[in-house]
Amino acid sequence: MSDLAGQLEIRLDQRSGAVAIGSSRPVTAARVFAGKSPAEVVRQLPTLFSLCGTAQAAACTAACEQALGRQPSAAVLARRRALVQAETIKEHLWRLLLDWPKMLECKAEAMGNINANANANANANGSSKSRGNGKGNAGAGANARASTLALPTAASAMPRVMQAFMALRQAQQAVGDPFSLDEQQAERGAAAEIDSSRLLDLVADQALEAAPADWLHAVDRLATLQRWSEQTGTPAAGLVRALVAQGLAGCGANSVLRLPDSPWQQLAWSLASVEADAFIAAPQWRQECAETGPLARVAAQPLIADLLARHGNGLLTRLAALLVDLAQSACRLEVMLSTTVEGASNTARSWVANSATLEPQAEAISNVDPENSRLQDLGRTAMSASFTASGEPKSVLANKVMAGDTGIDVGADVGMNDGTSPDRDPRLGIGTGTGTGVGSAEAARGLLVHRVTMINGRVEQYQILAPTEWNFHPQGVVAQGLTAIARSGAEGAELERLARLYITAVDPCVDYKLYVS
Amino acid sequence: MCLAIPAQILEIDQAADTGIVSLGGVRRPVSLALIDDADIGDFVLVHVGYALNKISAEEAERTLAMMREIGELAEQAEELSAAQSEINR
Repeated sequence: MSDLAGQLEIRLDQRSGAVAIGSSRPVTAARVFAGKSPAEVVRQLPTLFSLCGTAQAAACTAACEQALGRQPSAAVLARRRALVQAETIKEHLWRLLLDWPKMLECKAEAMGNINANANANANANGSSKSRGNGKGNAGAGANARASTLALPTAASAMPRVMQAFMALRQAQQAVGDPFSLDEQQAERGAAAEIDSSRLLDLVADQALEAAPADWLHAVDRLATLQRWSEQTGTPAAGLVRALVAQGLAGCGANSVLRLPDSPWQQLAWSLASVEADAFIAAPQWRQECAETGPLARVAAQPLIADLLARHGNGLLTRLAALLVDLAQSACRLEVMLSTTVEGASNTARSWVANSATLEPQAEAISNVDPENSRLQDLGRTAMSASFTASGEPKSVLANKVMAGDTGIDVGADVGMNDGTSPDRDPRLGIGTGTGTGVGSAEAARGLLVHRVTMINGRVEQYQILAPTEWNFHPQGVVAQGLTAIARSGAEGAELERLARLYITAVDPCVDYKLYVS
Repeated sequence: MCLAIPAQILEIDQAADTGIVSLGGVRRPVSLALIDDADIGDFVLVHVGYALNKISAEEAERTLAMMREIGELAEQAEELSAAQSEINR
């Protein structure tokens, strides 16, 4: 039972740079839902996959609703998305406050000093820069030897992050569950007033030291990122300084693809194919490995585009992508929870129509990318909302946000992922309890896709395609990144440290064992 | 698919903010730094060495039952796969 979460086993050969990745993750665990009612699945699934339970709930509910031929209201979709953003913020802060500092050997003591001075940080520039360089420091070694259970000092705010997130979720659940298949319950949940300020304050205090929209506007290229890191006393800024000081900006850079913005149709076919189990265990995009996650989501954003041009998809680009994704999530959460949705009974389709008017490139919901095509430039959109302080940009953003991820054209149960257009699933019937649905969510670690087939109101098959299987594919981004690190000449303990750092930067959602030989 | 596994707190070291939990009958050390007012006997969700949040005994039992079922399904699938290999040989 204790091993049920599974584990990754990553082997790196120092001489050749060869990497082997094995996984005992229970990638077919979703089979446990066969035979259950959709209401049971929607209730139970997020408790089982609780680490990213909100994104799981969003994808699950969307899949089940589509299979049942139901369409949630715009208000319900907006609330679900807001809660997914909150979860992403919680997860990203975990990476920034807990995981990265441990792996980067940022000196606990120095990070603590920086942290304590975060709000009165007149002289952080210069003095704190030298603190960020943990390489070769005795304190860093002591930190590495400390118990793995101890939190790094940078993580002193992490309990508050967890409390803020849990309080937000509990406040939501106390009024109603927007992920419920019961429409009244979902609408009650969508109408609940919940306060996200505790969580948003932590984003500003612990990571950006600025309002997220302002940060996105100000930090738009490598030079401004470095200037920000030198003038900022948060643990996150310390990580940027440490990476730069240690010469690790381009560490692990490789040429793996990023999963494109609109992969839905093709993924739906792959999940419907007879090879689906193998695909779920080791997914590829058009016969090539691809990565999903913060970097894939924000690659077009100005700061990240600049970093990709200079350092490829190395460590600094990855850390910056985490910060941009965090800032964008905070912007979205703030706007979504503060925007009153007029006409809560409007269907998502009508919101999509609105969105299409505003964004000519938007297509019908069955073909549209549920997340990225509408939200790609969210940072800038949110900023304009913030800077102009007029109602118009906010309503534009609200419309973009409303175009929720309910409908992926599920395609027929075709046997091959051959790129041709399938016919619509003939079993998809409205209100019959028989049909196929595919739902998705951009979870903190990347794209999450659920597919369900139902017969007479019972689940026949349930599948989950999770981000870790893309990113920890035996030839995927981590494998290629570790090879690049080994070939850069790193050896011994330093090679192992960099490998661990890179694995953390891509972020598996399970424990892993690394063997360097 | 990120499974966080329900576990019952057996011991607490308040100074270190750590505890020992029973995870599927196995004693494991965990950090309790991320949760408030943990008590011996409480159920918590555990992920990579951290207790994430407290859950009720009922919720823990429901989740554990599902996890047992997943384990059984996986075993069946393995047996089936082994039998298939045997036939193909």
